[in-house]
Parts: sequence; structure tokens; C-alpha cells
Amino acid sequence: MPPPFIKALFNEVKLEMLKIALISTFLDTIMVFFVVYFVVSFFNIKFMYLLLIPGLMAVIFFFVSILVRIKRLRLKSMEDANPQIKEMLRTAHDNMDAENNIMAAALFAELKEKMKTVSSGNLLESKKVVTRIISTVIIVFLIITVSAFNVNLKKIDIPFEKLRFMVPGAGPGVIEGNLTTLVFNETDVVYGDASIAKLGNEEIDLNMNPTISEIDFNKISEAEQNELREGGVPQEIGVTPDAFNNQQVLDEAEQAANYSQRIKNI
Amino acid sequence: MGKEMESVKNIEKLKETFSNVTKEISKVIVGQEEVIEQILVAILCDANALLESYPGLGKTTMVKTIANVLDLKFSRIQNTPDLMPSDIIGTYVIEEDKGKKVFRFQKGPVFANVILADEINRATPKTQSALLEAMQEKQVTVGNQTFELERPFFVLATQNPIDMEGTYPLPEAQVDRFLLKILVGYPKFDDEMEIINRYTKASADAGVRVLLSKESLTLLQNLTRQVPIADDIKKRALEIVAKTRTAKDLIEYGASPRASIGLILAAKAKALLDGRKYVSAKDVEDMAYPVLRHRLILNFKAERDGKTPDDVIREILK
Repeated sequence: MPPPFIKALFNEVKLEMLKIALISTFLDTIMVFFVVYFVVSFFNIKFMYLLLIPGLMAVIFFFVSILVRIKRLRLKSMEDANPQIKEMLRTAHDNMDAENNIMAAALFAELKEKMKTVSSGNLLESKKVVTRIISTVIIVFLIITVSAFNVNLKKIDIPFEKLRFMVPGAGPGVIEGNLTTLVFNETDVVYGDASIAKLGNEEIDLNMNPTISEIDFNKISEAEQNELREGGVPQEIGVTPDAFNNQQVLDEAEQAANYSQRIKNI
Repeated sequence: MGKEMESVKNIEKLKETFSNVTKEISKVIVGQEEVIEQILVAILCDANALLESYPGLGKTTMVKTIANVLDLKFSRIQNTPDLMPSDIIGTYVIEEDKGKKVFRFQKGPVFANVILADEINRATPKTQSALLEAMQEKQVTVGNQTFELERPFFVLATQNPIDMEGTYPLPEAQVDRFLLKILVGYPKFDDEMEIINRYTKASADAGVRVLLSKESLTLLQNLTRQVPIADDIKKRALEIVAKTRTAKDLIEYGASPRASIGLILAAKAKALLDGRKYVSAKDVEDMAYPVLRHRLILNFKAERDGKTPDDVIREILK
């Protein structure tokens, strides 16, 4: 039976190697995130997806990478990083079950002492780490430059039709296709004629501007007093007794409000 | 556990002990560190060595000094064509005891710890085989009686690479029984200067001290076998030996499995001499030359190209 300390020693070595694998993978993952973010930022997609896509890819990369690294986790990595104890470590590992062997016992005792002076930091290849950090800093710098100096990038439209939902303005609330396919509740409550909700083949041309960057300070006139309303649909209809003294009118108004609310929720 | 830790601590002192032994030997022998190391390797492996050198290079002095430092009984056999096996092993002589004549066994020079068999290739095959049997079996049989040889027992045979006329070259099967073939070269200029300074004085007797007892040596021989070795280094040793069998473009006949055992054992002894508790790949490579050089039979092409066994081993190690 090998002395318990030698087994503990090898377990410690494995743990150290696992830590190093985690650190390396984490560094790689950060780099992958920023690279993907930088590439995706060239596409005309919503900000949420701009974060979601790189995040998702980084998570996938992290798990794949850590699995590969753990599979490759061998004593050889520790030996390569610490050549001064390479053969000693290998010999101790191969002779862990040596019984009644004074030389093996002496080897284990010496290895225990030597391991105190051996740094697992050697496993982190400093050149690779520095390269990764510098690359990440460069990418982050590029991202910051593009956004801070308002570099007007010509956004690339997503070429795939199925991914159109990522395009700004095409939120999940937008229903594509013919509205006649919608099934209206045929209950006692009248929501109105379905034809009213039809848009037909008419195209709506929406021009959204300006953005902050496009403000021309020379063209600014006196501020106008505008009333702001929350949401596109009134939550409550207010009537004055003079204009709507008829109960029927009030009921219809309430139905119209409910209808609008339901339409909004579809 | 306490005893084991004590032994572990003693192992730490081994390097110092071997260093002192080498220093003590160097009081008599100038230079030749590699040769001394290889002789010590053979002793630690409890094996025999074949020493090849030109005359006058201090082989006898070297072996005698080593025997003195290790407190071993030394004996020298000068082989000649008329040397008989009984001259080595011993013979029964008639003695008178209380008025009766009885046979008593008179031990020959083989009953020692360190035997220097000078110019072994000058002895007849019959005498050679008697000595080689003693080497292998560590016992001798005379008539119907078997005598155990005292341990440790170590034969160091020498042969001269020149002046081969009237010699009986050792058959390959017998050469294979020597763990190492050690080549003794000429000393370096500075070493030779020191030799003449040392041995042309009025008194050249350095008077070496005994540094190891027979019991300690036996313990060290046991420790040598316990030196742990990594699996990949074992594989490397086997690959080296296997290559001697497959390199048909250079070698006619390769080394035997006895060579594999010898290579691992010699590497272990080398590690112990260096004060290490594990065998390194370099130990195997360093010992490949003395372990394999007498076990290879080069083919015609290699000999025509003027290659020596060491050249071939060097190529195998690449």
C-alpha cells in the first residue's frame, strides 16, 4: 500500500491541474465572447440578441473547452511544466503500489518535499495567457472605439429569413401574415368586426428617426409642449358627462377599451 | 514506520558515501572516473564485467584499489594457454593427518570476492568455461563436491584488443554473461602528468581507507534492485534492445533478453551511485554502451564502413 500522503499528493496535483484548466478556459471564453460580440455588432439586430448570441456561444465554448481540457488532463502536463521533477513524478506514479520498497518510500518522501517548491503556476503558459489578455483588450478597445466615437457602421441585414425576428422593430408582438387567419372569440361579448382589424395588402412605411447622433443643433427650435401617454393604447377612457350622458355610449366605450386591450395581448 | 524513516534517511547519505568511495579510489587512480563508475555499477548489480584496454593503463591497480576500499578479498589470475581449471578453482591435495593420508581441498584463487582475470582470452576454452561457470553459478564443483563462493563475488576479466595471436576469443554465449564491457582509454594529458608525478616519487603508496563493509555492500546490492523505475523508461530500455535486433542494415545479431535485464539493472545502479531514488532516461542511455557493445555482432556493411559497436549504439539511441 502506498503511503496515504502520496495519494493525497497526486490528488492535489490533479486539483491544481483542474484549476489551471478552468483559468485557461475562462480566459479563452472571455475572448470568444468579445470576438463574437464584435462580429455580431456588424449585423442589424436587436441589442438583446447582440448580447444573447455571444453569451450563448461563450457558454457553449466554455463547456466544450473544459470537457476537452479535462479529458486531456494528464500527469504529463504537470511533468512538462516542471521538468526538474518530471521523471521523479512519473516514477512515483508508476510505483505507487510498490510494497516493502525502501527506495520507493525514500522517493515518495523526497517528492513530497520537492512538491512544496514546485509551482503549479508553471502550468499556465505565460506567453499564451499574455497573448489572450492582449487580444481581449484589443477587441474590447475596438468595441469601445466603435460605440464611443459613434462610428457609423453600415449594418448588415440578416440574410436568413427565419432569423428576421432579431431585426429591430420586428419584436415578438408583430404578427406576420394575414390577420384573417386570426380566430376571434365568438362569445356574447362583441369585439368588433374582424374586417376592421384587417390591414389588407397595404404596406406601412415607418421611418424612425432621428437618433441622438443625428441631431442637428442648428435646426433646433423652441421646445414644444407635448402630452405624453403611456403605451400605444389607452388604458382607460375618460368621458365627460356633457358629451357622453348616454349609458349606451358609455358601454360601447368600455367595450372598445376592452377590445383594444385584447388586441394588444394577442 | 520509524525504522523505514530511518532507512529513508540513510538513503539520503548514499550519494555522500559513493562520493567518498570515488575520492578514496582517486587517491590511487588518476582520472578514469567513468571506468571507476562502471566498475562500481557492475559491483552494485552483483554482476561481472569485461575490461578492454591496452596494457599499462592501470587495470590491476584500479581493481585492487576498489577491492581495498570496499574491504573485499582480492585475487588476480594471469591467464595463459597452459593454465588449468584446477589452477583457478583449486584441487585436492594429499595431507597427513594423525598418521593417515587424507585428501584436503586446497582452494584456488577463485575463492575471493574480487577476481581480476587478466587476459582471459589467453586461457584455453576449458579454463575459460571453468571461470565463467564460477561467475554464473557463484559456486564451483570439484569431483563430487560443490563449494559455494563467498559473497559478494565479482569477476573482472580483461582482454587486450591487440596482439590477438595465440588467443582464444570468448564465444558469444560466454561474452553475454558479462554485464558490462568497459573500455579503458588512454588518460588525458593532465591526468598523465599527475600519474607520473605521483608514481615517480620515493613512496607512491597512498594507503586507502576502507569505506564500506561487505555487509554494507550486500545491502547496497539489494537496494539497487529496489530502485524504482517508471514504465516509460522501462519501455525505452526495451526499445533500445529491440532495435539491436531489427537494425539489420548494421547489425547481424542483436542483444538477448539478458541484455534487457542488464540494461535496467545497470541503469538502477547508476541512479543509486548518483544518489537518485529513481532511474532517469539518461541512466538507460548512458548504460546502453557498456551493456550492449559486447552483445552486438555488426554485419559486413557496418564493419566495411569502419563502424564500431559504440557508433551503432549511438545511432540506435538517436
